[in-house]
Amino acid sequence: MRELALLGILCLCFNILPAHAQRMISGTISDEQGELLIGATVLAKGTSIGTTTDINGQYILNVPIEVNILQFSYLGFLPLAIELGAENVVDAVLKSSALVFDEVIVTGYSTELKREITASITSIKNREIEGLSVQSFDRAIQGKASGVQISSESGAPGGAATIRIRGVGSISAGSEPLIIIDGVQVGRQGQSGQGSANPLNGINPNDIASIEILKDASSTSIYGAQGANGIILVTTKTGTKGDKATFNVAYQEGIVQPMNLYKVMNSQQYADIRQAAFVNSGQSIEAAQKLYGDPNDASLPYYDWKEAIWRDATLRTLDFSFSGGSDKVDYYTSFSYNLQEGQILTNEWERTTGRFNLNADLLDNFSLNLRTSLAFIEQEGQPCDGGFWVNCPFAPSFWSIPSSPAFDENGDYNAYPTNGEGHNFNFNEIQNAQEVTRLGQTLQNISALTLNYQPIPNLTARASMGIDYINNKDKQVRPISIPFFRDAWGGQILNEDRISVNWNTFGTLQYNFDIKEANRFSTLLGFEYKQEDWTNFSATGRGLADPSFQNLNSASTPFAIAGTSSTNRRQGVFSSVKYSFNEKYFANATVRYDGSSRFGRDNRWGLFYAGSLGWRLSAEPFLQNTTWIEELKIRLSYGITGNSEIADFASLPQFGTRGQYLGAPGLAPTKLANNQLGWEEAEQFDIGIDFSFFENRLYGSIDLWNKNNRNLLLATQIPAAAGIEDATFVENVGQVNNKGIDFELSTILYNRGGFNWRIGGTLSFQKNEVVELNGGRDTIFSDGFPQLIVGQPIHFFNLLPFAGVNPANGRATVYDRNGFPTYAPSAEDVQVFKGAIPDFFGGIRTEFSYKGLSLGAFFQFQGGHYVYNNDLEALAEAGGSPNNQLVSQANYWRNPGDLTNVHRPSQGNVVSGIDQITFGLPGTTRFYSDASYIRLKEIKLGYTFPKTSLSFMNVSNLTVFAQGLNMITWTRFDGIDPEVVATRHAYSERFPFAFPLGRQFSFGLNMSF
Amino acid sequence: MNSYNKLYFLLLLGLFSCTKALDVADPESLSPEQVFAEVGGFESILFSAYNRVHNFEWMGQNGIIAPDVLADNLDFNNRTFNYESEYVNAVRAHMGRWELYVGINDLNLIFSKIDDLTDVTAAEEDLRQQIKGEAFFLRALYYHDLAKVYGYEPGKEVNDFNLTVPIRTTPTEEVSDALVTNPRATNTELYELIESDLNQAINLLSDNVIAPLRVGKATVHALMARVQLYKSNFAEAARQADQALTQTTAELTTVENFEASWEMTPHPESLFEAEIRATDWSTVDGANRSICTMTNNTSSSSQYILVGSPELLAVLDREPNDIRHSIWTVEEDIPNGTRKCNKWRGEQGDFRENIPIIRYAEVLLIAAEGYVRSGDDTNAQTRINELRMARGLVPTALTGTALIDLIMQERRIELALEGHRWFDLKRLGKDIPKTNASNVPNLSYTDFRILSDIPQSELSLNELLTQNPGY
Repeated sequence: MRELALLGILCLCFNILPAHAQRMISGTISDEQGELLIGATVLAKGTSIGTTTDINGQYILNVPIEVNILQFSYLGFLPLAIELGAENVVDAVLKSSALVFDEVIVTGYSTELKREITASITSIKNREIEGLSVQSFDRAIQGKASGVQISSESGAPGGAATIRIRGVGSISAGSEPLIIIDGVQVGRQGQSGQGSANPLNGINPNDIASIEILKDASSTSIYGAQGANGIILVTTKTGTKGDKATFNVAYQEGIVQPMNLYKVMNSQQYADIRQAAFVNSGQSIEAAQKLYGDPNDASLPYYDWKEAIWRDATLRTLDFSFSGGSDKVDYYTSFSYNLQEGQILTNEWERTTGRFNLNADLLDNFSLNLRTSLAFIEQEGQPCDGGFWVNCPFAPSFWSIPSSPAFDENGDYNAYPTNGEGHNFNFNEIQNAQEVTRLGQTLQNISALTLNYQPIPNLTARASMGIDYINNKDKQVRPISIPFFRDAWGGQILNEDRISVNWNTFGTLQYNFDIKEANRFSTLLGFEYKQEDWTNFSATGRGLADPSFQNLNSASTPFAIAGTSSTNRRQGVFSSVKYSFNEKYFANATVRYDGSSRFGRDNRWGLFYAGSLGWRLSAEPFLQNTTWIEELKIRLSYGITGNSEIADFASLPQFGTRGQYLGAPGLAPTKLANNQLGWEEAEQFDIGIDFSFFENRLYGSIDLWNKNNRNLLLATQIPAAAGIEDATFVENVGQVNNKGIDFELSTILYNRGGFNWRIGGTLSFQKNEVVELNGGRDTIFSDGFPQLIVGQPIHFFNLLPFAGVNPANGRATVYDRNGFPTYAPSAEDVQVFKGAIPDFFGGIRTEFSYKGLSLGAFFQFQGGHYVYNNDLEALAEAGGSPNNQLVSQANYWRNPGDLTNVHRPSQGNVVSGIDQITFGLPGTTRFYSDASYIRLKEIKLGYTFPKTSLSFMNVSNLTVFAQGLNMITWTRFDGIDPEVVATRHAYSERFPFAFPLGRQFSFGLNMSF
Repeated sequence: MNSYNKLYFLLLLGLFSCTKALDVADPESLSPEQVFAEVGGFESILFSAYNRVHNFEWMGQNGIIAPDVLADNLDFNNRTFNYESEYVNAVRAHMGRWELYVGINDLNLIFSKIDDLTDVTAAEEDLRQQIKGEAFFLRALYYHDLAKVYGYEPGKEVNDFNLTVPIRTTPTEEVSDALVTNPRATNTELYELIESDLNQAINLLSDNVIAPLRVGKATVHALMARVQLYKSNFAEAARQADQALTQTTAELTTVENFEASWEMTPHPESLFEAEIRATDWSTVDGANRSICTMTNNTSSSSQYILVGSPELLAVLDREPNDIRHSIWTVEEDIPNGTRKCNKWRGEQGDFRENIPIIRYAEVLLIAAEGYVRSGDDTNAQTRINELRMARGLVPTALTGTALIDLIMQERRIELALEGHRWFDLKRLGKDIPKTNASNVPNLSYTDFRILSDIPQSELSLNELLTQNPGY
């Protein structure tokens, strides 16, 4: 009710207010060749009133009557200011340059000119992400913003990605940045549990006009308690007032292929290594051959599981959009369809989106902005995301027994394995993938309504309300046609329903004023409230008469129901003041006071603040004569932001239901209280320069930053003997430092005779270190081994140094703490090895164009980090289990004197009570590997037809293109995909058989009418 | 109008800055105060402690199977990674029981808070005494299993190493309690606590009515008998066993119903039986976390990896009339000389079945062993012959060492796959024989692998703990 009351009050107060004097200016913006510029910016000088041109290069802007200059700008063009006369139509012709300093940048709750910005913000425009066949925009901006490490957690279509802005500052609290789409703070709940799902899938990347990434404290502190991990602001496209309707259609079709899969043994190699394991464990050759056949028998049955499970798949996208406007209203509306099959059997992802964006001037000084989108996503046949799960196809595609064909001579499924041995829980993986239903359906709506009111010139009041609603329904059917499911439960259906409602509202007052022309002030005051509620419900039924039954109604036995819900709320007030003197000196101060329901009553509120300074040296007289400098600015910022991304009820002591006995519920303490639980704070210092040299042929920015996360929140282990089920408690343990340097650089190497060659890129170096642990500790342990050590990065591996296989007897050895090889290490021999957080990362873009023809390539890289390849624990264990092995394992130790890294095969890999793979400890460096890589991420060849050749069919633009994604990877990693594995390791856990990224080829066209 | 405008905004700010908006409650949790307000709350905590007995890591699977795999009762029929390292007594492949402390904390909460309840009715008072009695029994059961795994029995120390697990008798209510660390107690200290708990339980519990799914007085005597046996306090073991046998309503099965009794719920011989319901398991627990999935092929999704070893069956085969042959069946596809065990068949469906923790035959065997080892062959014969006749065998007239051997042989056969073999050897200080098929040498009693290692995670969090020798 309160929300309704709020809107009511707002509507009321705005409607009764008088109109204010304005005039409407319209026109076109074009380049010197007369090509119309789409998305160019118009700004009424001295105000924050601005717009961009539509698809026809046209704009309409309501300008306060006292404004007499319009400023025009566009990336790659020199800015232009035009004095307004009596004429209401103002056309601008911009001269080409590489200047980016006059773009309008979206910042927290307002917009600014890039020239005046004193914070570290990367802005990515739609042309850098448009048309890429990725499902969420985070993957499209990977490597395109310095200081922002984005890496896929899963190669699944629509799979999740991890975003880290300026290092990893936190462990138990979330390290994900806050993502705000058109003012709506999107949540992370309500996603499908049937495989990896990216919370950003609900937004069609082609609807995005720009993405701003706020990196330093001065830009993020306006978001207070949510600012510590950085902010990503997404702005979707709009139409242009007074513009005729434009219709744009884009179509793309292509294939997805697996890349770099493991090579596994054939039936003979497999029979040979298994026989060796049998014989070395005291079993007979006959027993082995009964199961696996004679290794010398060339006629052993053979089935290529890998070939049957991995596949070339299809991708297809179809987008269309309309935009335009009248003199009071503009609109952008779009629909899209996106199909992406996974490169693994039956995996498929489909999305349909719709969007409607509307800006309407209700009165001269009162306007409304509506942004609304709806997405329906269906993940079909989605296998689990990886892991040692037998009913998930990744591991079984490699380890299924090669002499056990999936089909019999009639084409029916064989029982697996055909030798009757217990392996893979007797799942025939092909049958499993084909017959098990794993369907996730997700409906997401992200909508925002903003009202703007200008009671007097320079004062803008704004009220906004946004909602992010997700409803996910999962269905998993385990049919009786699969023996395991038939015998255990008579088949099973699981339905899950998740709803997440996440809404926020804010109001701001912005007042701009000048003192004696040279001193410009812009002030902002606002409040915000946010509430997140989610519920999950699931029901399981068993006993299905037929494999084709897909609904719970068909289950004869209700088996289980479960339901859960949670909520959290935040509120805050904030204010900022920006000051500039003669467009030469800038200062900015921000403060926010925030409260969160997640913290204990005594520690609920936190104060966050920041300040920044800017000096445009290029505006100084002493540099006016230095012709090669077009723009040069030094920025300095410092501030404190917070992180409240912890569990909703982390501070409270809890008793929860724990099991039943004789039908009555049991109760047990599930968690201990921590009354002292307080905010995690990030203190950040940033010094940066923005520059443009040599007639704007070389431009970019460099930032040096230092970030201290204090009162780091960590779920610390307590002794299990204390007897608490969740043997951890969240405490503020200490301080982590991240520091780094970020480069963003663009050059125009050649631009003559219609031939244009540009190179640009980003490069970031970062260093992460735990600098202090509370209570004088130098180490915090988890599961018996160090988790945090003062002086070490936040992530590292605890491993035994592998010392190779003893040529004398074929036993695996590791180095003990004194550096001597041993068969039987103890926990004290485990050492710390470098972890999975990269030292550097970035991207390099190059683009050639000649007239309508263009060729672009984008390389993305990460380096200096390591991972433990868990896959090999199953695939490189010298035949110690029935798992099929890597071909390289055939080189196992046979006779004294053999030099090899593959130990002597034995059942279970146990020799004299010692596990040869893990030694009963957290593993060895045998499977530890450099995860650095550079990847040709995107390559695109396009041709835009000349306008003249199109006029006869009334087409204003036609582009055809072919593109490839993830084309080539250069790496020393010994697994499939270094990107997804490292992401999992650094930010969650060791994770075997993660869904790797695929290689994609596609072609398509864009057409506008 | 401008002033109105500002007023409205101020009003809005006011609306949202009331702190109450930030007070939220967890819909799935209770505060400790709510739980401790009624006797019913304590009973719920007790139920949680009962429920943990059938945890897969304890008697739900590992506690039944590991003691036979670590010794010589079982061989492999199939391999699914499970129990492979236990089979060859790999270093650190032992029984981990540290999580029993979670149940102990449940019980400590009861002890520390239940007497604070005031204004209780007479019925509630009875319930309070019963809850306390059951809680003392359970804490003794939990601690005795910790003692069996992590330390030597009193009098059976190797190199005088007498440390066992730390004793915690006060609950963890807040973080500061959790961080209070205790050193390892000596085995005699721990056994004193166990006996004291059992004596309190005997005093508090009235009768047998609620057995076997909850415990009565007879059950406490039975556990006391077992504890005395482990202490090599044989006469007292026999005396306690006899008390249990007299008081219990459980009945010895006969030749007629022995085989069928393994399909019955509860088992007619149970003095204490852990109850499992469908809701206790997630969908994948059956195939992974049941007993029968490891030892039987009732379902095609069973792992069915372990079968009776030729060494065990050779003992059984000494007397062909033994009715216990009925639960060991020869199967085609399993290694020669091995047989499938049909004690555990998941008769409640989805691999589920109740788990007898203490049953009549065990108590009879304790009585027989207690008598014979304390020199009373006559009474020992009576007890063992009661069992032998119920199993279709002729009474024995053996005495002395021969009678001891026979009783130990009966014990091995009768209690196979019920979690006793390893501990029966260990408590007597005997070497652990290994099966021929395991291809590993016998484990000497002095080998460090007789004791489980203390979890590395505990050592790193509690500086007062010391690791067991050899690890």
